[in-house]
Amino acid sequence: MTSAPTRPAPTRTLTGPGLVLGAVVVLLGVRVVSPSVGTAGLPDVVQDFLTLAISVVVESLPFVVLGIVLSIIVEVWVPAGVLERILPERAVPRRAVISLIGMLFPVCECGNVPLARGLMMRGFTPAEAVTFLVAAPILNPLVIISTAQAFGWSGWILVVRIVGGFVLANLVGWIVAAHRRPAELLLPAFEARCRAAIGAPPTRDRWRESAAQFGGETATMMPALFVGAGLAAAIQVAVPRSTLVSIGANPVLSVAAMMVLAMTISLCSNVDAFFALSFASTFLPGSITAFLLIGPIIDVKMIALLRTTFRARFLVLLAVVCVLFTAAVGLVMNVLV
Amino acid sequence: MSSSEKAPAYLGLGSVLAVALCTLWLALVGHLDLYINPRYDLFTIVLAAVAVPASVAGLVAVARGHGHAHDDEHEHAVHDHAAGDAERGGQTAHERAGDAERDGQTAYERAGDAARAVRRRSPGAARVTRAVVGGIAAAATVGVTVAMLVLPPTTLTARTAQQRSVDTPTLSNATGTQDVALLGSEGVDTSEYGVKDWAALIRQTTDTSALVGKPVELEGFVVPGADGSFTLTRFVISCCAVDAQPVGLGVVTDGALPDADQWVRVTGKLAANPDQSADARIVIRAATVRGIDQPTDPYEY
Repeated sequence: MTSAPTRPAPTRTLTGPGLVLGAVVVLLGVRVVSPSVGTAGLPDVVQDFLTLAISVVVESLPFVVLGIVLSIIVEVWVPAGVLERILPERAVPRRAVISLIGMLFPVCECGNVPLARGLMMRGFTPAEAVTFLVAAPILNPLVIISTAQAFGWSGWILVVRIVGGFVLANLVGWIVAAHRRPAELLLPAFEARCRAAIGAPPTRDRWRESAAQFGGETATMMPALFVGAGLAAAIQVAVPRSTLVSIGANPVLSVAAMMVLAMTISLCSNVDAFFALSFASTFLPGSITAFLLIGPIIDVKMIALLRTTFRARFLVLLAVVCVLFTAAVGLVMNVLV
Repeated sequence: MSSSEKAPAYLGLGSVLAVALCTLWLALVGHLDLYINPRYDLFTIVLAAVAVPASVAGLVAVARGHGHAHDDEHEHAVHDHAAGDAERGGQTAHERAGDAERDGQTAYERAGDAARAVRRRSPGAARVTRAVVGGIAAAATVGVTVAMLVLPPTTLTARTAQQRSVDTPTLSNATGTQDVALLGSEGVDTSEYGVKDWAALIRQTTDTSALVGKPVELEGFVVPGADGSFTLTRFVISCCAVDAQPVGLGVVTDGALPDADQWVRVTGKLAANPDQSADARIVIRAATVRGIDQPTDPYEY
């Protein structure tokens, strides 16, 4: 810090953004000039792959942007201690309250990864952030309303989804808290970032801080989103959906089929209830509920997004716990209801 | 930050900017519905409009984040900052902002330096893996973004319809089941029925003889079927193209069969399926099959 100023000359400063803006303008020019609808003569497989990948990106981007904006608000604009004061002191009730934060921040699964990162950079423990991560895409008003619209009170689906999401989030949080060193579940680079962020002095220029954080978080989240969208699209193109849905009537296999469908299709939790409704006539309620419970937490897009923050071994742990819990809920429902 | 360390931020911000602008363009020319259900148009447009200025501000902030000696003594640098901040307590907010300008780094960037220091200390193999994964992710980002902007937007093809079992009658209800049951009762005007409504009605009706002879005029695209027939198909979207569920009605025609993916308007009457072994009990016996342009809104909801 005592060295001579190393800030580049103004011309060089603007080279990077200039290039980026130039590239975007050129591409957008191509877009505006070229035909507005049609096919480019690509093979059907490639065309459908691109359409699906783009549709995942178009659908997810608003939620990712919303999540990043909320995480900036939580980290930069909410004064230190405000959130912390209203939360209970003891760990278990504290996590129970955190699992309900989603009721205030209606982010679905793509938005809650940046928001959970923001919470950890603010000083929340990994166990608390993970509790939020699992709970928020299920326990939020938009998801509850859309599930109620789709299924009403029939077949216990709505109730089990809400209660199941709450129990699962607190179960996962409890398991992470019981870990010897929960910080080891985070990627070392992200953990170091958290430590530095927590120790850092309060920001002086909040707008500048916000812009820098928007840049840093998009740099992390966007490649993960594109990889997740690509994977989801590739699976859709490669695996015929008919093989999965042909086993709807079997009480055991249908739970597995719906869970696999949820994990590969990577739908947003705000709308997955409407999609699940189209299977309601062929699949048992337990299988539908399993779809609605596992989809918001574990799917190929989510794993790509979570990998920006967590180590692979944590993702395996998370997947195993969630799959076992969801399968158990689905099977019990299929037997009882 | 050196320019190579800024590259990921430029990539992320550039892709957000490009996708957000393209989303706004799609909304402007009315083709956003090729990718998502119109129900989410407003939300998507508002957040895209937020993303554009935010990513431009991000680009400027990243560009102005200044160079920094990246060494393992960085921890000390953070403490120096803290001490400096305390001493500057007497300054005005404006002066402090000026300091931040001169320091050139936000707290977020300083934290990022700490993260990079950890990365540099990691073993070589981990660094190689990270470079490969990063390269793939960057390629996916650039590839999909460029494809989105350069290729014309289009619908899913008959290939996907076949793969998602358009012929399986059990799957074809999609959304809005209750409405159709009401609409299907006697004396109801069926002229506004789409492919989805008819498919749902046929599936729910136990006595299909009541349906035989009903006149229909429907638009959809062609999914090739068995000899002398095809499936008149529409995709039903509940959220976005990823969840598109094909719904279809079998069409039997004496005329020439249209090509796969061709959009057609079929007029005719419902009839019992001549193929007794098929799942679908009712098909359309077509009087005319006429090729049309793809409708502006090719999906049903």
